[in-house]
Amino acid sequence: MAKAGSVLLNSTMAYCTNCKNAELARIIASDQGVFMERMCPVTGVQSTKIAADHRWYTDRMRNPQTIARAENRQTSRLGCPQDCGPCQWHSGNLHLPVFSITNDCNLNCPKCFTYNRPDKKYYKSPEDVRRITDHILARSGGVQLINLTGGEPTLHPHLLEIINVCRRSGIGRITINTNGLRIAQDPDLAFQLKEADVQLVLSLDTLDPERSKMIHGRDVTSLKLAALDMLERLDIPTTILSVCIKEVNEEDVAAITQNYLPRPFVRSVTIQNMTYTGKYGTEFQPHQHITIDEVEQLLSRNNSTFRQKDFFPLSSYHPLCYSVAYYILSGQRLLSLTDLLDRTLLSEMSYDRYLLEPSENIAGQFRDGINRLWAEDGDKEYFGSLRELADRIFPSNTLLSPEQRRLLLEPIIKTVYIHPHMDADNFDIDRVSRCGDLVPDEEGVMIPACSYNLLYRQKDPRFWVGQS
Amino acid sequence: MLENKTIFVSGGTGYLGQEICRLSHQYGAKVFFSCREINEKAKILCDELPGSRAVAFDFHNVNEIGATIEALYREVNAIDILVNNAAISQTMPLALLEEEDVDLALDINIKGPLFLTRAVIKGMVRNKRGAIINLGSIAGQRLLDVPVTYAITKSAMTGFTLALAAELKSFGIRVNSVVPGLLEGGVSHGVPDGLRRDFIEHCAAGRAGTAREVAEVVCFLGSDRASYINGQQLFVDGGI
Repeated sequence: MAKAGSVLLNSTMAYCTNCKNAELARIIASDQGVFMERMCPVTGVQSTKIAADHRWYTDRMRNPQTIARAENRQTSRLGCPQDCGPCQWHSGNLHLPVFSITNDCNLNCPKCFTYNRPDKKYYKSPEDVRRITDHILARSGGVQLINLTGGEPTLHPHLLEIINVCRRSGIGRITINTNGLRIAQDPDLAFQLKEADVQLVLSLDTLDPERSKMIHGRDVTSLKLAALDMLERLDIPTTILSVCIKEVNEEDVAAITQNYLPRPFVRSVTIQNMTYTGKYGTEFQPHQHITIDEVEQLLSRNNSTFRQKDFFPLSSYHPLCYSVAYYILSGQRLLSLTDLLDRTLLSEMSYDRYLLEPSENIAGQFRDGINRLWAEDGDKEYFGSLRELADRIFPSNTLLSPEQRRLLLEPIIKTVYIHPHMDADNFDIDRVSRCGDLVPDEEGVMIPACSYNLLYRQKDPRFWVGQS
Repeated sequence: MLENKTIFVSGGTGYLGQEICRLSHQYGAKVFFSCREINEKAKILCDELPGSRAVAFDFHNVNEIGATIEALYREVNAIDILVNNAAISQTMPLALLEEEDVDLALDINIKGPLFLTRAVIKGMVRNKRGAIINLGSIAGQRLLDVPVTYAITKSAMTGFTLALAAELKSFGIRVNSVVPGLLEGGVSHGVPDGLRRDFIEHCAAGRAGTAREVAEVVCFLGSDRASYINGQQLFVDGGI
């Protein structure tokens, strides 16, 4: 319970997994940070830290979000989050469809936030994937990217066929999650994925053998290094996905981000704040939530590449769901886009989408940013890099199409995402009701990812049958 | 309209240059055009326009320009029309602009046309006839978000045209300038969507122009039908 002298900042609706009820939650600031407090008649007061700094929290919460269209949505009957489909009250559009194509996995990670029944393997058929993509296109009119997950997707016997099914007009980048174990050991598979022109999302939480045992159940660091080597050699566009666990691998995550983001094959690093859901994740110890601003501080603490002011919220999501920083790669240096462009403008560029898209006046904004930085005696090396960039995308003797420019920019524009999922401790209906990361099924139902992980997946017999 | 005339178009493989070559050929002219190198585009254009020829030279090299035109004059008695069309545009904020960038823009967009003109008018002065058309741009005439080096050099075409018209008046050589507005292709290709929309909104024609529409004016000014037009800037911008 909040101490006297604490400040009530906000209120929201929480969902109690014990009572199966939505209940009022208070957002309280104290000298310890910002907490979400709720009262459960069964278990009493629950308090979970949601931000370390109240100024950061209040600044982020000012970020406006436009209500999305609510066409073709089911009527809300039981109330959020029990009518997911999404219902007519859902205020976010579909931006990132993410779905499991198998429950098969070659690891049993203690950190895993999902449910996968081990007794009966399930592989989604290409025909079912086709139906899902039909629904995705019908609901969204087109998405910038799609994410296939698992289990371990590379264990699916028809993975390449599924990739081909996903490759259709209106679906941009195809991303596939992987723990990298098969890629490390099977060069043919890696080559096929390279040929299939997909982006891989490689899970990489630590390169320390002891911590690997704690997080993955066994030491997989040498396999992770071999997978990284393979991806780098084949130059497969890769996102590194690091789960950040307080008092376990925080420094590892910072080092991975620092060391791998500048590599040409790495497009982005996504840091997922540890979420205590799923068969194993619910019981994981230590059980302490790390907040977005703590991760931002963690990244900024150890070197000068990342600064907390580089990060901004995605305007199509709740501010506590995503924090993003964009960089331009210059040699081995990463130069923040916030040095050139206002964070508000960057946030606006993410309106109603997942990936930033240049606004119409972006060229003028860039020019103004460069001239301003120059007038303020900015970093000379920075200008050298910007000049190289300008020469590449605006060559004086050739006219490039926007698509040619995009392809030239892709390997040198780097992104860090900080993305906390929610669990039973911090489940916030306000957050889930705006979510654009939806899990689609074959019938056209689309469930926000955190609702799915906490409440829906274990109801699906393909993934769970209530085993102990 | 251009029968028995010989035309030389600099930058003949660009969006506008190609159309000037095509149209002048259609109107009966023998066409020569310059390009940086005799590439596939140049070969295709030559095949498309029987009797036409591409010559390659480096606009940085004043001597090379002179030598190439001199060699051409050994083959043809006259170049009746010169179109100074070749130009470059480079998007670069002032803070990132280097001396070399300015030199490059001045070389290609000002010095090049000047020395090409000097080489070509040798024959025109001898023959006491000729028409020169310099391509300007609305970028050099209005307050627009365009690269400064491009605006400077295109604006310079105005003074170049007037002074040249005065200097060559005694030799029956007319010098005019054509100032296109926003076109569908060429350097307009890189114009941001916002600026494009703004232009179209304030354009009486309500659309971007085509290379053909500009080429028509160039051919007219090069023809004898424009015999009483000298030292003028003709805006081909749909009415701004």
